[in-house]
Amino acid sequence: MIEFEDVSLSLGEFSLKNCSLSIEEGEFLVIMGPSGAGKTIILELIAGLHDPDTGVIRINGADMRKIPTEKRGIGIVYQDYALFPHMSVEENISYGMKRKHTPREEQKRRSLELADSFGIGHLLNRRPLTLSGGEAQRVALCRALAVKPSILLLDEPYAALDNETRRDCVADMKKLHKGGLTIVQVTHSLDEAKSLGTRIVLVRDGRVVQTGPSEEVFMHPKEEVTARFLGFENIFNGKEVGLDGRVCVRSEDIILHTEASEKCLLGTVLSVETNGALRICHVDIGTVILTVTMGKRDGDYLEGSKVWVDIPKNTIRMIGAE
Amino acid sequence: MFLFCCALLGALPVGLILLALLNITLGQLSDPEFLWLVATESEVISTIILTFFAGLCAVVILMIVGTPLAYLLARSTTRTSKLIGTIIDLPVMLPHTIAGILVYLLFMPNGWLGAPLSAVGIAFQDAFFGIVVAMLFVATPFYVNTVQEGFVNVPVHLENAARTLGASQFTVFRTITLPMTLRHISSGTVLAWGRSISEFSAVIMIAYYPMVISTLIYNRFMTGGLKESSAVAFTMIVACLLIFGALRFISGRIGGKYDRV
Repeated sequence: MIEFEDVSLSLGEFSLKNCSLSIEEGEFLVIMGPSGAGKTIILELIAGLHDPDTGVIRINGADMRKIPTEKRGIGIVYQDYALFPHMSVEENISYGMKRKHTPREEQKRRSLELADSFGIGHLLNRRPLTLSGGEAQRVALCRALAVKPSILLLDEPYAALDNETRRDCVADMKKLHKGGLTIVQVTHSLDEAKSLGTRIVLVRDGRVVQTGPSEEVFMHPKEEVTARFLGFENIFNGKEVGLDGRVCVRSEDIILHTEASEKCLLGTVLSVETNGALRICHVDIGTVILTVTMGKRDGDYLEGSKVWVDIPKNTIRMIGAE
Repeated sequence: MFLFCCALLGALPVGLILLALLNITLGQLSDPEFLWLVATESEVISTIILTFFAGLCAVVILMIVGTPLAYLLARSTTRTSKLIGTIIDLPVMLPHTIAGILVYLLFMPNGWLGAPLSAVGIAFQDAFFGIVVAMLFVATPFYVNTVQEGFVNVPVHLENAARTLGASQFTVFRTITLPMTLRHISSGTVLAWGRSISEFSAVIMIAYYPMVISTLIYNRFMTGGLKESSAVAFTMIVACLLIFGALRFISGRIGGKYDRV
């Protein structure tokens, strides 16, 4: 549906380099990467808010070079929602319909219908500045959906929301995606990416470093930096566990024992930190210091005590392996 | 204590202005018949009207050409735009007699612009258009800088969101950017108009006649003395207070609900 073919773009000091990717119809694509990686630029390129210096962007097979933003049929929801402060909620939602010369009655009917479906029907006469984060997010979503876009772009849409509201909004997105809408979302939250994305694109320093189905990307990072970004706290030489090359393991997959057991590595607890209901231990196994996340029931380990470290084989990922 | 110190220091400039106004008011009201005689003089009235009108013409021209320029400067980050911003600021930094010389050299009958325009019948030397261009020259930075600040305050992604909703660049400007900048446009207009009507040095260089109010006050001071010139000055003060007071009230109301971001 959307194809990037060798797209490059320089904007001041930032540059997106030879970006190639494709987004299928009905997909929920999550673009991830650290701040300043170029995630938002990719969204804005899809929307036509920037023209690529080189390369081609195609949507449904058509070259987008000559197609201005307003004719692309793409909706966007920004992190701060970008609601028009001088208009009421209803005027915000009907803004796009007005541009398309939709009859006034139809505008009113559709605005109300959309607002009701997102539980904000009672807010139509309010001004954006009087809304809470969750309400504003839904207004922005209704506004984008009112013009029936073929693709919805979301730029870190839940970043400013509290946990409960975020859960509701994620549920809204899942509902929209199930309805057949193609969604491209930018985020740096691993949880959002895991729960929403059917496919993940990892971006770093203006380059696409990895793409693939959600499960595959999370299980097989191609680079150390992306492994770290994807939540693999332990990255070390595979020799430690009898493998060739660099390997990575999530901290929650490592098990500590107080008694010696087969195939375990002997280590010393360097420090224990409490993080809510979890405890994070740093264990020195001689050549590397491992980070281990444990629940409160996993036993107490004192700093300086000897432990046996069990790294289950099926949790070890080879970096760069296909 | 800190706020008290602020109030004490701040009282100085306010007190100075009030004292000067009180001084002239009491002086003029002590001889109301003379004041009335001067204030109702046709030359005084027509000069005040001419001054306000010439200033208004300069401001209207500024709104038409200065608003797009302010938008470009607000949205561009290139070196060229920074250079243009510096050029726009020049009239503020230059002594106004220099501004007058610059305008005169350009618009005098054999000047670069004056010559071709006088060939088609538009005169600047000692003419109404001369007053307007001199006012335009000195008022430009006040308008452009104020409106540019307003445009900078409108986040670009609001415009981007509007474009994805089907609005062309012009429609976005008309429906989003401009309404959200109304307060800055109105205060830029008031500032530029005020700056225009108060101009003296730049105006007399190119057009001593027809006289603007500053020229008339200077002329009366040199020919009729302090008493006559103060009466003209007081009449202008009253006219300014009425007009700018009303404008301030209106501009405070129109922009208020539009420009909160």
